[in-house]
Amino acid sequence: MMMILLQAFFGGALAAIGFGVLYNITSKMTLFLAGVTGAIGSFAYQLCIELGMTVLSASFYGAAGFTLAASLFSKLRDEPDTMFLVPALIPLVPGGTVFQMMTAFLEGRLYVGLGRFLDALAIAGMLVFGMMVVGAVLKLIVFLQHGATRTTKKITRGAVNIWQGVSEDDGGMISIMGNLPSSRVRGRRLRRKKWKNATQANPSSSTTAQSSSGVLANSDSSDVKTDENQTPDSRA
Amino acid sequence: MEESTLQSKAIHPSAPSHSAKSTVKQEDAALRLYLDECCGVIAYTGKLLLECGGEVGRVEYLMEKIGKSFDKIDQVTPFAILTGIMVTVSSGSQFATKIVRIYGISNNLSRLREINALANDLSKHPQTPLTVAKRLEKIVETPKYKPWQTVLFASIGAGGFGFFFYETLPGIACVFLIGALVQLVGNWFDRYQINRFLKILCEAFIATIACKLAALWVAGTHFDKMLLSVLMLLVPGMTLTNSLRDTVSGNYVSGMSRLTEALLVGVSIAMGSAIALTLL
Repeated sequence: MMMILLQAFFGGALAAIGFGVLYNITSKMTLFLAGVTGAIGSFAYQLCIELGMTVLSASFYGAAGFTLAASLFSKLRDEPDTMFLVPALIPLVPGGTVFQMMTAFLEGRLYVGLGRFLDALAIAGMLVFGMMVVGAVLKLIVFLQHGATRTTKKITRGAVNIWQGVSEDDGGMISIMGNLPSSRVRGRRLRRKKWKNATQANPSSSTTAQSSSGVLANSDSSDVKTDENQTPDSRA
Repeated sequence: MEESTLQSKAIHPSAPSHSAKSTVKQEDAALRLYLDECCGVIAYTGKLLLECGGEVGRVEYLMEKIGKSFDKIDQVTPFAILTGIMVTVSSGSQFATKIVRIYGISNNLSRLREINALANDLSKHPQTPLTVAKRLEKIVETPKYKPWQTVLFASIGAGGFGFFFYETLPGIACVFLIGALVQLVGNWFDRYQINRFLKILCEAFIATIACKLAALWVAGTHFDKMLLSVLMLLVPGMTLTNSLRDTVSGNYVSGMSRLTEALLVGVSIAMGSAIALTLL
């Protein structure tokens, strides 16, 4: 078993380094670290297989392992994590399954081919799922260090997309709570409600209230504060 | 002529306003030129990034980051799919749009890294579009690996796969040589710009024939393991993974087109090896 694990370790490292050169990683240190990442991924995969897991869960844990290593290295070296992820992923990609699928199709065994196709899709999906889950968890840990309240506000506003690694600007696809309106807009709505209640409560100043409410309804983006400041003057 | 204009300026007070209008027009024209320049630089960045194999989400994010680092620009709206890029840059009421078509995608990760570093640098120290364009040109001209180096490392990678699939030592040696052969053939095909699928089909054909011969002549080797480890050089691993990542992050068009490409590559690999298997 030790021999098999070592073989997986060095085989993954060699494959990752070879593919790193084919993908034109020019820096030697990055190439070495990509090899280490690939070695960790294939080691974890092989360890899970040896412990008696199925191929699917083994690819999940392998992907999780090399994503951890890749994000660590990308933090250390200040480079995008794709540099380490892509070469490390290559040994775990279900190339053999795809090949078996195509040979089965060409030999006319359609059902076997379809089964292989589903296998390949499931393994690739598990790899991506492992990468995504680890990325999201790391992002959450960084958030908690950064300051939880501000970050949760950002997440609820939809400004931070925890499932996607790169984007930190607006336009998040999935957020945990759904997209709530921002605190500024909510405050404005609250103030508008208060103002409406106040005007309904004392009908003596009905004309000014009507005019100001008309202004409010027309100009949605205008600030409510200025209207509130203006109305006492008009009453006086 | 000059006297009359002078008189008109002296008599009518509305003349200065006319000149102010013309300066406003000139400023508008200058702003439009500037926006065109910025837009061109951003579109070129996106083209470089997509051609070196980045995911669509990353490409759009970096384009927006670089665009927002430029002076006077309010909004950058990038839209990238696998075969093209559209960018709109706006400042006030003025805007500029560019469309770039993309043919073919290769893998060049160091270019991705350098453009990423450039975007990070620009967000801290803003620069003019012209200097950014010069830096991009410098990034394009950075040297790649030489062909013999790619051949050597392709064979090392194939040997690593042989190790990974528990092939015996003579088998690993054979895989090493066959990997070099396959990469040589690929380099030769690249020189003549032949269709990509045909190239992969020929490579798979040669790999299968070489593995069969090696299994016949060299003792202690396994045909299927050797064939798998050599064919891993051709398998579209990066395309498959990028397609799933794109699909998960919401770029369905690019994800599906990448998946189609991966399936076509898989079909051509299987066709090539099937032809070789029927021959022998």
